[in-house]
Amino acid sequence: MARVRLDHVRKQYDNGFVAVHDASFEIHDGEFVVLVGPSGCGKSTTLRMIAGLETISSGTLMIGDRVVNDVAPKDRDIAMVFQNYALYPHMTVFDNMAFGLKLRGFSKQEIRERVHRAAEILDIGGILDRKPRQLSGGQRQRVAVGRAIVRQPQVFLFDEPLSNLDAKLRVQMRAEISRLHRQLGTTMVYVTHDQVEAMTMGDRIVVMNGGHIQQIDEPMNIYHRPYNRFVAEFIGSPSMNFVEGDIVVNEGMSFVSSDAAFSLKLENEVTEKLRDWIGNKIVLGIRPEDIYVAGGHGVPERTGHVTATIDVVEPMGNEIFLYARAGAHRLVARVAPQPLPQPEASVTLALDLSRLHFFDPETEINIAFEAPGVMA
Amino acid sequence: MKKALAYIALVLGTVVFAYPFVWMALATFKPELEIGELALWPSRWTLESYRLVFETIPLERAFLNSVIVVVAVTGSALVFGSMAAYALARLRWRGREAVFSLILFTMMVPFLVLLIPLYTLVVRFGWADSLLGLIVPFMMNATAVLILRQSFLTIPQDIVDAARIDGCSEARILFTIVWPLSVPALVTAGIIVFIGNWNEVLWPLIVIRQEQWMTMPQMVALFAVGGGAQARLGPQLAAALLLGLPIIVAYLFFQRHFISSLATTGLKG
Ligand SMILES: Nc1ncnc2c1ncn2[C@@H]1O[C@H](COP(=O)(O)OP(=O)(O)O)[C@@H](O)[C@H]1O
Ligand SMILES: [Mg+2]
Repeated sequence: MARVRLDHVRKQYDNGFVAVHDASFEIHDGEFVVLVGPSGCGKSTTLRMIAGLETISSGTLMIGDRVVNDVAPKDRDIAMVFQNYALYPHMTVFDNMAFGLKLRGFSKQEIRERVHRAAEILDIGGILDRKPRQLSGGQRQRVAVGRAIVRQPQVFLFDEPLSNLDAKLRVQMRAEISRLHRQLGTTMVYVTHDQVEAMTMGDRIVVMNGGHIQQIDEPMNIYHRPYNRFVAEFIGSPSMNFVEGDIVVNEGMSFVSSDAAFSLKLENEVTEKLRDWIGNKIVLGIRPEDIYVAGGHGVPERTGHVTATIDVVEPMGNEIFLYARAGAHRLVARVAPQPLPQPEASVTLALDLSRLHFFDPETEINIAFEAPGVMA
Repeated sequence: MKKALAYIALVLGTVVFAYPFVWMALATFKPELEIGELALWPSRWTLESYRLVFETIPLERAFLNSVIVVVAVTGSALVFGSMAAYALARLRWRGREAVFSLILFTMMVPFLVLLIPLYTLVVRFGWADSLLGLIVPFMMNATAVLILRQSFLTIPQDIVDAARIDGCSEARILFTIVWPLSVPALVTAGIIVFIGNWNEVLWPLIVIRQEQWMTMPQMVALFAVGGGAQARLGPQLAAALLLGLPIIVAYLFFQRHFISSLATTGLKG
């Protein structure tokens, strides 16, 4: 097992496009780190640099205690699982899994043992004689994982391995990969655009956007203390609500939405940090689950009220999504099951004042952010 | 009604294309005097024409030479052609586009233009009047490179990457991963090289003087035009038929791959 360390790693493609700017982070021995971000943000490029499939334009990459910038993929002691599985179509499942071992000169006996052990872990013992085209998507995925684990590498790399599976299978495989990580204890780097996968699987999450690392932290810290507006918006579903407005002072500090549709009296803890913003534009953020219907269940003590009009009601069974508008602003609330409000009805929303986030409208950085982890 | 018309057209077409060949095949079994007549079917079957062919020229030896040459040429065109195609399709290197253009360009140069310089080179290397002179100049084939490159481009990058991580060298990726996935293209390229080389007359006529190194087409051509056949039509046709036979056999053998490859290259490329 090994740690992976990136030090000012940069990738510029032949056409001049810079896909990764100055990435620096360390993945600890045995850690499960998820790289997450929208499509095209440079996740795969980062992973492929770790794998050795793309050259590194500048910076250093270490696996274990070795600088591997110029080491061929096969000598990095890594294994990778690809989005499209990348099984060898002309080989049986057994041969797909055994191929890397054969090339490394393992004995027939050892190969058979390892393949069967992996097949048992992944529950694919019954399909070892089949060709990939005779397998379902879920089975192919397992074989692809099996091919990676038989090698017992120092680091596993996953590039959106679940994207091609249907929703149900995805949830199941998610849990299985997590279990596999616990079982093997090997360092894993997992790329996904799905924030749910990032939140549920990662020991730590690296959020990327436009080739830049936005934030690196544990899932709950990322969720509750996003470094900037991008992270706040990307992580969580439905997304965080954002309202532009001003900080004003008259008998205490308030946030007033830009069209003055509503205002919120701010509490002591936040006023401290917002002192410099008095009279300035600011962006307020609040997650849907921190908005309640006033007078309903579980409304916290200190709330600010906003009168809004219901647009759409989405009952999910265990919860309800309310899409509402207050003046020109749109708010999504995620509330407990209750009698459904009608569209176009007026509703009083209660915003949890202890859960407000504030962002600099220029830099989009979280104003109250105190760095516990590393920042880009 | 429409369908019937279509079938009639197809049958007519087939007859038009097949007739000369069928006529020729049957004529080789006719007595010489009967060949000029219109009738398709021999009134009496005879192997007289074939006897004369085998009596006059060392056809077995020529056949062996041809097989050696065509196997060596086709084999190396596929092996080396695949290497070039792989480098052009799957590796990133400076000058790749330029080299590819150059290969395309060589396809447009008529062989006649190259004849004299090529002959001079072969003589210098001491390969004239030997099978090497027939093999070496054709070990690379631009058409084969083109067909193979096109096919290699369709193989998903992830599979190549997976093989790299699994521990394959590029050569091993080519021969253990890419080749098995490119069988139709290999067959197509192989047949094209095979047919082109098997039928080659001009080049052997220039390079080979000694009868022992002559290939079948050369031998048959000399036999037909050079008086060996004593101006008799039967033996000439028989020799020509023998010449064409391996091609027909090869085609029948591979036609499934050949047709499926021709049918799909357009879709995939
Ligand atoms: N070989 C390449 N040449 C040029 N640009 C590339 C190449 N591969 C990827 N890119 C670009 O780099 C950016 C990041 O790609 P990628 O790392 O695949 O994103 P992600 O995996 O996060 O979706 C994209 O804008 C993509 O278009
Ligand atoms: Mg990607």
